[in-house]
Amino acid sequence: MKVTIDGVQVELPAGTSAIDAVFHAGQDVPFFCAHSYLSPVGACRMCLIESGSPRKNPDGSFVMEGEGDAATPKIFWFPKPMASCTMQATEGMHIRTAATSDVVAKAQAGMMEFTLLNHPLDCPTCDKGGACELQDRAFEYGYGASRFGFDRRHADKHYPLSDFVILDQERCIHCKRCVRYFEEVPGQEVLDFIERGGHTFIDTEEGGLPTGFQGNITDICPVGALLDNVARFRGRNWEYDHTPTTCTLCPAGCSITADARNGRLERVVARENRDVNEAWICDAGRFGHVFASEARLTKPLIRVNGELVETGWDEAIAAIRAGLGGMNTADLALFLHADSTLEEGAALEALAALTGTNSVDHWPRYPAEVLSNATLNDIATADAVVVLGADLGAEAPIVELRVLEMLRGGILPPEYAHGTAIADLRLVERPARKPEKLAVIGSASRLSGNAGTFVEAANVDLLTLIRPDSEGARAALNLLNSAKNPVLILGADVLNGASAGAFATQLSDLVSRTGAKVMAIPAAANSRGLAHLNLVPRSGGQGYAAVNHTRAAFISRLDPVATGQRPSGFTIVHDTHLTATAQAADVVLPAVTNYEKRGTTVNVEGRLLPLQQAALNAGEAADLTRTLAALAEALGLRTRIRGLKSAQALLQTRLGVDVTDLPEAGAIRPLGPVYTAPTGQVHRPQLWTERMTLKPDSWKATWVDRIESLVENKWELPMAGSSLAGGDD
Amino acid sequence: MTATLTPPKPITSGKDPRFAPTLYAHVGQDQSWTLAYYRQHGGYQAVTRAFAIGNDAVIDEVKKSGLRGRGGAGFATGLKWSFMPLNDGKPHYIICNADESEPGSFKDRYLLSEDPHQLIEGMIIAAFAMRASVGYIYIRGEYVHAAERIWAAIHEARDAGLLGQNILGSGFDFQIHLHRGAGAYICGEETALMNSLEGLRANPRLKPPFPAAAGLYGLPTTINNVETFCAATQILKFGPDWHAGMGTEKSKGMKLFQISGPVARPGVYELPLGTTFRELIFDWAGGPLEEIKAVIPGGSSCPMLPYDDKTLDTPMDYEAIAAAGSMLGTGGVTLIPKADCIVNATWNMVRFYAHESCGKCTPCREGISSWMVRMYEKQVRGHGQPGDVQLILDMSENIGGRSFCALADACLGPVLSSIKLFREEYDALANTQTPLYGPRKRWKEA
Amino acid sequence: MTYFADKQPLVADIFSRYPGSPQGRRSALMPLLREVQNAHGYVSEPQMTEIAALCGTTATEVRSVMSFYSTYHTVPTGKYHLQVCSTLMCSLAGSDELWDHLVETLDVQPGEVSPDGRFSVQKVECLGSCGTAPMMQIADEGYYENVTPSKCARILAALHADAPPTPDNLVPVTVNAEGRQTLANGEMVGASIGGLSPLTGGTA
Ligand SMILES: Cc1cc2nc3c(=O)[nH]c(=O)nc-3n(C[C@H](O)[C@H](O)[C@H](O)COP(=O)(O)O)c2cc1C
Ligand code: SF4
Ligand code: FES
Repeated sequence: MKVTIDGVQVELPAGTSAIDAVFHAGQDVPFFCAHSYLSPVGACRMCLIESGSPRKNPDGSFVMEGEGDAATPKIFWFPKPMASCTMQATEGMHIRTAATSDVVAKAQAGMMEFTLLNHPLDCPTCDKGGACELQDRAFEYGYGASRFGFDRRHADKHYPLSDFVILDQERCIHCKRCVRYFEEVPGQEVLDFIERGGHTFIDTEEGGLPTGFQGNITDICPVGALLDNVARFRGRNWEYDHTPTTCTLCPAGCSITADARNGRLERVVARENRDVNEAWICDAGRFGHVFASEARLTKPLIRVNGELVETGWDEAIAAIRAGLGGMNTADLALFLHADSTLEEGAALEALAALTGTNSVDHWPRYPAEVLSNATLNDIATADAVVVLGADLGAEAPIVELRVLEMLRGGILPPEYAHGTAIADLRLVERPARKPEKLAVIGSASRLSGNAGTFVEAANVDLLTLIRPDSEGARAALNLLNSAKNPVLILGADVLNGASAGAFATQLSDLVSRTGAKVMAIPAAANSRGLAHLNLVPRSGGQGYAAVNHTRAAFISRLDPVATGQRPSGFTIVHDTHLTATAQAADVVLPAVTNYEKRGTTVNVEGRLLPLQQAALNAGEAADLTRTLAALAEALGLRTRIRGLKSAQALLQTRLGVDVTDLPEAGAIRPLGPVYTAPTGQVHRPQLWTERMTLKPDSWKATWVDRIESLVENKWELPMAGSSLAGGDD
Repeated sequence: MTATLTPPKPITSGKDPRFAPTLYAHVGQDQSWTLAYYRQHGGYQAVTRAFAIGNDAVIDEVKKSGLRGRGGAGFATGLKWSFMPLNDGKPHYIICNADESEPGSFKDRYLLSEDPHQLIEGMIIAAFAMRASVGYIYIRGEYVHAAERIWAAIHEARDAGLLGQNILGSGFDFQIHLHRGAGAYICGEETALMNSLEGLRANPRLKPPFPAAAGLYGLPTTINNVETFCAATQILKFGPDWHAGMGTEKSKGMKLFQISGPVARPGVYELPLGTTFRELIFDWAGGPLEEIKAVIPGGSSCPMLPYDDKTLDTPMDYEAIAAAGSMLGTGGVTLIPKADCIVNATWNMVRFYAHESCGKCTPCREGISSWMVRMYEKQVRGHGQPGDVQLILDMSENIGGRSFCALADACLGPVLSSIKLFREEYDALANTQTPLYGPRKRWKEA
Repeated sequence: MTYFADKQPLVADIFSRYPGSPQGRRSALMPLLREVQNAHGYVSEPQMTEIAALCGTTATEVRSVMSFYSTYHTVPTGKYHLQVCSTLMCSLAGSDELWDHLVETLDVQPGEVSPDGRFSVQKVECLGSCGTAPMMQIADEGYYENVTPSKCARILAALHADAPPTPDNLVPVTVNAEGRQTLANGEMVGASIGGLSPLTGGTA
């Protein structure tokens, strides 16, 4: 299909919207209500263009203009400007933007004047300033002055929609993105316009927005009306260091931007990744970052006269050497958190080879490693999904969103020269949902409420599906059997019981019978990547479950004491905070969070995703790779792995991947065989952890419970009092 | 059975004796709203005839009759009906638009309350033609009395086997439900109406898809005005030629004209399209009671016309009024007295549209509902400034044709026409803060 | 007890008008609101929540839809809720003065209820009674048309006595059996009874 924009002819696939035609051709129109992942509605009327099309004679030939060979199809222009976001470009269409049409330029300037009519002039104190679509577009397309001359609308400027999201009603330009987001993406009718005409405002009647995915509205609000309350007044957009990285709170591996200022992580926002999280992240990923800047360990600690005292790395190394003096290096167990990077895992594997220890483990993980072959886009575009034994809201929330996307048709917006389609005309408001395409077996969860078939069962395993003994389970199996592209999602309740042999047989049986692709949700952010390294107890060695029986242990970012296991021997803890385990340790080494690391993580799909280092103040904290090098020094061993580069070189030989060469959106690469071993304990996924404490001292005990209860009871979010601290904006 | 009935004796119009009222023939008669009365006066014969000639023939007859939608836009009804898919296996809906909210329009209210069976019969005919199994009558919430009459009539019809399964032995099944609105002018816009019926905010929807492809509940739907359905009943009763024989070349049939404002006999008059304003105002409505300066020809959104001989001699049909720079609209004619300030009168209409804006799109929500209304308030409160009129004109240019639906444009009808016709009144207010025609007492004994 | 708990037949009847799908269920929202309002004169928050549950949606949606329309109330109205049409045709016939008169004599402002609980007032838009202007409507009871000062006084007196007069249903012009258009009082009108009247005003 050929379309001509401001005289430039481009070739486009059928179905392209006029706004995408314009951007594809390298031209520009302003827009506020359109959003790539939401239905186009044509409400803001900013994206006006002039358009015209050729017409055909009754005999099928074009109505021509001009003489002889110079004749071209005559373009019949629409008498008025049209909203390009809701108009489909058609063969032979001509489009004029403000660049070539005075009518369009005037129309857009006039529309901008209307948009700004009731908008307060508080850009200087607005958190959105510097990253505000309205501010930018007003510069480019506005008159520069308003002729309004009346009082602007006055409304509540500090109206909390929940503990996390605050609404400034005066700033709202009624683009309806937030309302459409809730209706179309998580499928919750919790926010809508109230009143009509010039009195319209948004509000919720649910006592607060539900925790889960609410924070996304702060990203998509084109003005500063919906703001992240955790980050509110923490900095101006141009003061932040923006670090594009990957969230490692769960194995979904969403692309995020970490915004830091003065060494503190102040805000996390979603970054588009068409394959993983599209444009969304969960609330834990967005708001649960506060721990990274609160009560951090910045220096090593050693125990002197029974007390932990701050010291330097050299002294800490000396203390380790003294503490382990006379012990066989093979007696030092090495345990790391399964959200550590591949690089860190490789470094630990290498060190274990040097020390000769058989007691190596990473946690959390499951006894068997089920490598998923379904991608997140496979889920979104599946025609049936069965979820077995998973609470996706706690295990991998974005997977839940992608399942919901499947229920509403799984339409993935196409890509053009400028990126993802701005207006995908196939997306419609209030899309019809097909709950019959989803079956959930397991405990009740947010997702089970959306399923056509829900079998409530406390104990589930693959046999529940293979030999169904209930109506619902039969229906679920049937769903898998009759679908063309079914996906089976397995969660903790199944995977905890996955003993190596039988489980694999059962699963391959099920897969071969139904043709389903499988997505097993790993226990932690990088469990799937670390499984390819030999980081499980070898014969004669002790696993993490036996941490209280080790003679000496090095524990990186795990807190066994908190779960009732007290390491028995000499203990070295590598952590970001003074955890219960750290408090009981002999030596504590300060660690960096995953926001401050470079490295590679592997998500639920097997997609290698890069971590980048945000500029946070962490004193002398070090990542695991460098910490292990120090440990090796203390042990009197020489390790080849001294930092990121050498670890990445090792990965190249170990796994056959060049992680320095990953596209920004990550890539799925084969990583070879996996190592499994019994775990000796059960993993209970919990998304919000104590580490996400908002105010470490006062909230510590209650915060996790509070979030858990918010997530579970979905709607009930007590609102913060209206006397929220607020600036003068 | 298939023969068309003999049309009633042509009487009434002094100008052209061929025309007789049919739509309003029974309005005001004792018990006219009952099934018994309706049957006695030839009721439900049109639908019998429709069943006999078959659904495609019904659409053909409506096409041949030249009937155009009476809801305001004047779209050819038969053509609209033919847009409905034929055998797509999906349920189809028809909706009667009884939201009548355009200021100056009040014809549908009497059709609904005084002759509900005429409407029901028209809807059965339309449903039969368009293979619809369910029809909704969306009646504005304030029409309580009319809703009760319709309610009762639906039940009468059901009990008599005129609605339900196998109507009159035709094998055709059709049900009608009443749905009451709750006070929102925008619900007259067909897609907003469908949202309202679905229990959503009554914002208009994107077109395409058009209702005939995906309307109510996403299924093929056709919406017509009350008068349109009633006219269909008469067309099936008396035949397409009878209908096509009335009116002008492109505007066929009888139309319910309403006249309000200071005239001797305000009311609804059923007259052939093409009747002149002069005949309506003088001959039928008994002439103005005071000096008039402007005529709103078809409901408040239609640009006003000057009250002069040219206007008075303009035939009231779609084309002639369009040529005069306005619209036939709903046929609601309003006379504006000379002694009333035109800015004040226009403010009243702008205030109406500002109040009724749905708030979805920027030009209407901000332009009309926030700004335009205050520009007018400013004038009538005596705070006008030089340049205000120019600003109103420029704002109008930025609103006109840019909004999502036609409501914003509707507001510009009175604005632009009144400025064009009575600029001196605007200028007086803007420049001297004093109206040329000051306030006066209007609330009086009859 | 919730409002609809003992009204199952009514609720079932309302749902029966719409398809059995989730979309159809939602259509019952306005009829259910209307039921509550007819009974109580307004819709309270618990009732919004109840209706939300019945329609398979949330209280947010119910409030959103409700607030869109001008005839649903979230606060109690008086026993007689007087709605005065304020749009142009009634305004030309004096509805502004009628409104001022009501607000003054009843001592009540929009959103309030008069001290005796009898009256509340609301300005409404064109109620389709332009031919019989000015007019007002009392709650959902019916229209009072051609409300002249004296008629207004009579209506108010009757309401004070809690004996609301029967609403009007004036058909301004009718057609008799011979097809002649007549006024309600039987007076013949139309071209067949006289010639064209002379122009008054105009620029002829
Ligand atoms: C803002 C707006 C208000 C409308 N109000 C009404 C109305 O009250 N009654 C009506 O019949 N049509 C109304 N219409 C026109 C309808 O959208 C639609 O065209 C009409 O019901 C079609 O019926 P018809 O073809 O029989 O005329 C309105 C249109 C707009 C844009
Ligand atoms: S013009 Fe816009 S705001 Fe006005 S009623 Fe139509 S869609 Fe709603
Ligand atoms: S109308 Fe808002 S982007 Fe097109």
